[in-house]
Amino acid sequence: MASAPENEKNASAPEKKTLTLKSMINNEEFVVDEHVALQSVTIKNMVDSDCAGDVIPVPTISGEILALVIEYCKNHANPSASEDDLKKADAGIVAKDIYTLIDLVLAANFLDIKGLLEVTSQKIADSIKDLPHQDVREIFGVENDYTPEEEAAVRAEHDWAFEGFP
Amino acid sequence: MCCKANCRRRDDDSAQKGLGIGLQPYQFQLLVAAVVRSAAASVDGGNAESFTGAFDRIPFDIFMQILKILAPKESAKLSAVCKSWKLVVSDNRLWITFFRIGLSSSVISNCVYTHTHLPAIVQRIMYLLMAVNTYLTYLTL
Repeated sequence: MASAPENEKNASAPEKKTLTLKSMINNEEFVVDEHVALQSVTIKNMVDSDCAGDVIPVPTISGEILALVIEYCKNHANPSASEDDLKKADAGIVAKDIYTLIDLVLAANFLDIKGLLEVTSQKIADSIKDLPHQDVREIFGVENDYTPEEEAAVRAEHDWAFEGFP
Repeated sequence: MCCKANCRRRDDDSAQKGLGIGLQPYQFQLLVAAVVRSAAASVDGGNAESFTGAFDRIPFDIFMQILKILAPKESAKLSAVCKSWKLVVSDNRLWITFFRIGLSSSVISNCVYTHTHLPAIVQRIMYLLMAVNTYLTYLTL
């Protein structure tokens, strides 16, 4: 599903319009079919208002993340893909570490791709869920700025939320 | 190119508004900046040092979205992570959303937060907002 078969490349007719997306972080370029790229509302607006040149520069998004975004767009631009296949493909895309997920959520936000934003937010929420707050601190590199007394006070304030946690 | 044109138009708009109330554009901008600063200071209680770790890079509304996906209990638990997370979790809009979800799925436990955490005046405003919200929800149904 994720890896496009060889014959699909041959099938893409030469008159099909393509756009080039260029990551401004590491200057990587991606050539994508227009209908794939247009799933991004940001790019769609650029194209609709004739702001888009031959190469569309994408600031603040690295090539690695842009590749994931394009993979998502390709999957969802395929009209023959079933719900189940899409879900599986999405799960594969977001099966990344938390820092990649944060980059991905920022990219989805910037490019305005609602589906990807939802899937990634859900994944981040899932990775926080059921963790004790000490682990959340560690995962996200958050510095604990509470004094022990303050922390105890916050816990006491929300004791109903801490049932069953150390 | 057109983005620049848009920005300029917006600048012109705000300049006109500023002149409309008898202020020079730069005075208007200063006023706006001052209001924004004081609002920010009152929100974070003067604690500008606090930061949310890797979540620092995430815009506020996405952070909010992630908290909305988590249950009220999970969100309340995250207030123990650090001061700035507590600030985000304490946002009234988050709890209004939870309350609305709670109303439709009859989970009442999240009311506990409203009762225990917020000062009386905020509670009153919140209940009013909730009432308005519920009314609007019924209208759109």
